[in-house]
Amino acid sequence: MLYSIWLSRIKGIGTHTQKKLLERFIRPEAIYDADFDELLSVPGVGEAYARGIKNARLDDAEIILENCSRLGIKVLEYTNPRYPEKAKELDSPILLYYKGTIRENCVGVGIVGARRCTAYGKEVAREAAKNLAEKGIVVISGMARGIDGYAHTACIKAGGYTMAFLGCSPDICYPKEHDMLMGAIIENGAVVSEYPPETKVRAEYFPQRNLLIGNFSSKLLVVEAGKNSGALITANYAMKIGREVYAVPNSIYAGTAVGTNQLIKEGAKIYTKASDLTSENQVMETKIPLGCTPAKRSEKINLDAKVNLGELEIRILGCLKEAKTISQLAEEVECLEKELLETISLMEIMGVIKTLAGGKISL
Amino acid sequence: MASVVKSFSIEGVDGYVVEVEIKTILGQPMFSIVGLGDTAVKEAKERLEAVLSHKDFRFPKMKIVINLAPSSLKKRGSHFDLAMAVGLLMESNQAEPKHIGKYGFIGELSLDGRLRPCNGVLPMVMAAKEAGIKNVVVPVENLQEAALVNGIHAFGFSNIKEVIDFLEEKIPYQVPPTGNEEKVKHEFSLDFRDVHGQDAMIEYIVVAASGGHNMLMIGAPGCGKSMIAKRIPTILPAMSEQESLEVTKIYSVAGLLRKSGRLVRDRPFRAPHQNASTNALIGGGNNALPGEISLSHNGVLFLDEIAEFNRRTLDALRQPMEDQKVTISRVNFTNTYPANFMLVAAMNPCPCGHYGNDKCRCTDYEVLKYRQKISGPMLDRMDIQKYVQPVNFMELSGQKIERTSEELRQRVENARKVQQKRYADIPGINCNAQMTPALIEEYCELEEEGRRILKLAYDRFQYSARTFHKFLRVGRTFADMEESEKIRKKDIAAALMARDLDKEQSGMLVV
Repeated sequence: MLYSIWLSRIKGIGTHTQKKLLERFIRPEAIYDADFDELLSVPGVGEAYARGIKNARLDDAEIILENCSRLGIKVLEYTNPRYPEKAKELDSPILLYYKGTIRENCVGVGIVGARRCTAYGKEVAREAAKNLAEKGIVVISGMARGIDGYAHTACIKAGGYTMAFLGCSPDICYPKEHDMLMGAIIENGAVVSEYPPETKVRAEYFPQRNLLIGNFSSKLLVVEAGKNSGALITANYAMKIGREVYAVPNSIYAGTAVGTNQLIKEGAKIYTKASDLTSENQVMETKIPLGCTPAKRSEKINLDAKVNLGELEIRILGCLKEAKTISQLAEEVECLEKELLETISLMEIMGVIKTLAGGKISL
Repeated sequence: MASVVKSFSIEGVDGYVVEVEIKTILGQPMFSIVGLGDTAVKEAKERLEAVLSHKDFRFPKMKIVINLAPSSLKKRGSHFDLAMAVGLLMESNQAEPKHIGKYGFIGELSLDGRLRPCNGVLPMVMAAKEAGIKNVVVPVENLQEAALVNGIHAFGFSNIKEVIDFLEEKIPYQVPPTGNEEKVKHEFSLDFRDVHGQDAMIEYIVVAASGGHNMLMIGAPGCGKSMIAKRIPTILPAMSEQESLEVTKIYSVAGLLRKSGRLVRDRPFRAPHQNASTNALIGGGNNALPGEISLSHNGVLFLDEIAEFNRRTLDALRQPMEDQKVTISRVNFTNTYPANFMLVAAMNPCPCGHYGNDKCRCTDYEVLKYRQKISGPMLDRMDIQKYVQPVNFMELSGQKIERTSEELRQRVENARKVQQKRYADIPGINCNAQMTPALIEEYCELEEEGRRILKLAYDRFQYSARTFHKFLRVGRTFADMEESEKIRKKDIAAALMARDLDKEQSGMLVV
């Protein structure tokens, strides 16, 4: 393991050369022990490279290994069978640092999208991740704000396995508010990074992390993406290596939809239901899509309506085609606000209506 | 024998009698003041020397010792000047007051013999009354304040010469002319009439005021949180004489009374800025002076943008809220001040302030993080947390409900009366918000239907066990407002609407 780290840290040697060296010598120790001529015999390794390899020392790797054991970070080597063959495309690193557990065959479905997402994006991500989790498919994402965070959360809530790829080392939580989430991901999956312990977030690390998400995703769902967003980098890379990319259709005027609509234009598949991501692997879907579809909700209301809705309740329901504040409601049903309190409270407890974020009332 | 003149000192908000003993001894001329005085007390020496070099008096060329008894208590302030001067004149046979033992003296001297007003006159005069001193001599500016205490003869003078002439009974006391003696009718410039819409919100405000519940208002910037909060004192019941005196004492000690000189009759409303330090809020400084929580005693402490306050500052409020008093220890003084206030706080629902609106792009995790700036125990002390919805004036034009602060206050007073009767025999409990779990058990009897609804709500919103007591407390107040013995279904239904944040949290997509 020490030699793997050593190999990954040699200055001037990229992943390509590293992989070639590994092909030739199999074990990293052998590379460390190899003499100058042996190194030169590897295709693509010139004198400068060979000298670089011979001069590289183990100190750096030793410190990293020590930090790893101190911080509870584990190392996944290139040769480990848990490193999926499918994820070894192109620039994939020869070494991954992670916290949690990496299960066998951990290639899954990626869900990526905007940090500043809308309620629409949140709902799509939630539904998709939940469905994947219930089918036992790994949910891959980047633990960023917004869509990424929601995808992980929904997966964990549905009891699924999820992997987060970070733009910093696995001992650092970014963004800060995700500390609880990060803990939960470590319990129910893994946070993975190619950066050694104590590497802080830097903008230039993120494109590299996006490639990792692409590598580990057999399919990729882009929920919302602005112009030039990180999600687009992931999507373009995934297309390049031949993965199926789905984009969520959205209004052509929405700022968060510029990227996804662009992807559709470029040939990404259009995502319309949660089973899009699972249908090919599975036999025909028989279940109704998850989440509360409008149809299901109105059904429920009718059910309750039969039980014990009074005249006022029915009038309130009639007004609630869109979310309203309690004063708007009071005005429409011509009733004092304070007299409405009781009714609304009871209706909410019965599940006929609900209070939205921000305090508005809706069906 | 030494001359003894009575003055007063203050500890916390209570005064006590100090005997100023003055002795002149033959020997090297010198002057010393003993009795643990602060610098202001020590410097009295210079002022006295200057005043007594005045044409009417002479400064004795002897060894002068002044002792402030009880000598073991620390004293501060310049109000001992007058007592010292009177005593020194007596001791050096320049004055022969007739009944010096019946008088107490408060006042600072200026170098030309005028009397200057000082802080804390009210508690000092109250101490005089308790000690059986019937007559108090104060600077004329403090006369109104001193006269607030019944059963005390307060005499106001503007210089030392007048005081001596009066004490020697050469000139009878003349009531000094005071500026505006007319009784100002106590009236608020603010009224809930000015708040349009927000009926449901105001209903909860009334409940909070009735039951003494602490309250958190959540809403977008500019939706009217501060406007509502500023009007809360207008619906609180009028302060009793006793409460007024308590408040006035605190303000007197804090030096905030000098201008008005009347009893504080309006309930205090304090709104410290979110930048306030812990000491500004709790009390402190060299002399352990009262902070905002004591200044809002018997009134409202309004913390606008509570999430922007320093978390530790907020947590420091917890203990005073529990005990309704606060003890401040500093090097020089350790004082206990009352701090029985109603906490009203306002905050934005999320970092951008527009949560629930389309333009808000805060993630659930960010929102939670933002709300966690207020610690759990602090949130626990807020029985009511309600969203304030922005009001659209266009929509409201047709419907106008008149509700004045006066009407609302009537309801609050009724509910308070019910509570006073209920808690008459229980020390330390005045209102529903202070009910202990044992009292909740005893007084919060639910109707069967109400119990069922509470159970349903629990299953639905996954409330924690401790919110249970909050619902019962608030439900109790709703019932009290209509003088119902039991907590009815409608009371509990309304109480269940008082936890907007908790309810919202159950719907968030977070781990």
